[in-house]
Amino acid sequence: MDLLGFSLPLALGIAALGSGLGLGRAIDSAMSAMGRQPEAIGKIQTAMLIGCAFIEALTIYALVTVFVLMGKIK
Amino acid sequence: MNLVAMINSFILAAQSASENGGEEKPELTNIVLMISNWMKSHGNISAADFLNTFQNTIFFTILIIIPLAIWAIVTYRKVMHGSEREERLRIPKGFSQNFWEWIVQILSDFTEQGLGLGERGLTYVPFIGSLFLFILLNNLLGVFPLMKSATSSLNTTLGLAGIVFFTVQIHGVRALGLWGWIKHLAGVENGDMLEYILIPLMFPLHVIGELIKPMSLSLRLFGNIFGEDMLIAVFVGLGAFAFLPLQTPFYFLALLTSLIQTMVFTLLACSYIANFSHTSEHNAEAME
Repeated sequence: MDLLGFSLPLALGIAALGSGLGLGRAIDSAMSAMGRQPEAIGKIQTAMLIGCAFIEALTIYALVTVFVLMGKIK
Repeated sequence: MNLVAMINSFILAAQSASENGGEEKPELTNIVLMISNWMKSHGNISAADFLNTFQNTIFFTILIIIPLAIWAIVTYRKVMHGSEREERLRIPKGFSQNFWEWIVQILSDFTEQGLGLGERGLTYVPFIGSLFLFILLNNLLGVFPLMKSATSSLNTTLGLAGIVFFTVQIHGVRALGLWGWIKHLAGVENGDMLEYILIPLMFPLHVIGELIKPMSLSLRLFGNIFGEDMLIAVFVGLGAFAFLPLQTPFYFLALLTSLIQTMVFTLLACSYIANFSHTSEHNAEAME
């Protein structure tokens, strides 16, 4: 019984869940900081985008695994 | 209308003629693929295979590097070795000189902010700046119709991450000295007894961390850009039956993630270099 076709999308879904939670927290604190000090919006935006790229990278690792194993699903 | 039909009908050809031997990765056609198909239909198999193998890393890399480098070098010679050197150095004149001074100013500010080393960090502006320009233009190239990003293949990104890794280590050896570099890898900062006792724990941790860094750099960039290109290809295939441009929202996403991924790569390279340098905190503690 071949579980690869079942487990790969499930793994990607769980990775997306984790990154959704993490990104939500990061952007939440960025929004609060922007609301407290509207003059610093530019710098906070830059830092928020870079932080989001780091968190997103973990989901991208799961996506790369899917690409590598995609040909082996029957 | 004709161009859209031609491009959409080439998707099936790309699926079978791409270099991964018929696996079903959807991929849009590009110039090199079209040239190699034309060569194959004329019987020139070996040249077509050569083009196919290196279509990403060599061809599109050269497409970005050579015009940009030629333009920059020609501008430099016009300014520094031309006839109006004094006036041009005081007040920049002409489109090329103004454009390149603007780009260099942006990259220099970016590097200074990323490194945090002040004046000493200016020696790294050429390296970080060319890394930034190369990755940015290659990421953006994948959005154009008949082009393909060089960074959408793991070969290019692994090469870039390898360059960054060796630069960081050699900079560490040069800035800290050989013994200082080994001590930094072992986690010994201040020379306390506690740090010397913890060496068997910290040394493998730091070494494995240093080896993981190029892997994560390359995989992050590769995954983002390859996923973006494949997303666009899938949506082109979805809208192909009625020539609907369903992939347009993803073009904007591709622009955004291209810029963000270059900034992340370059800022990480900057922070790795700064990690291996003496900062002012180190000097303040050493003077006590």
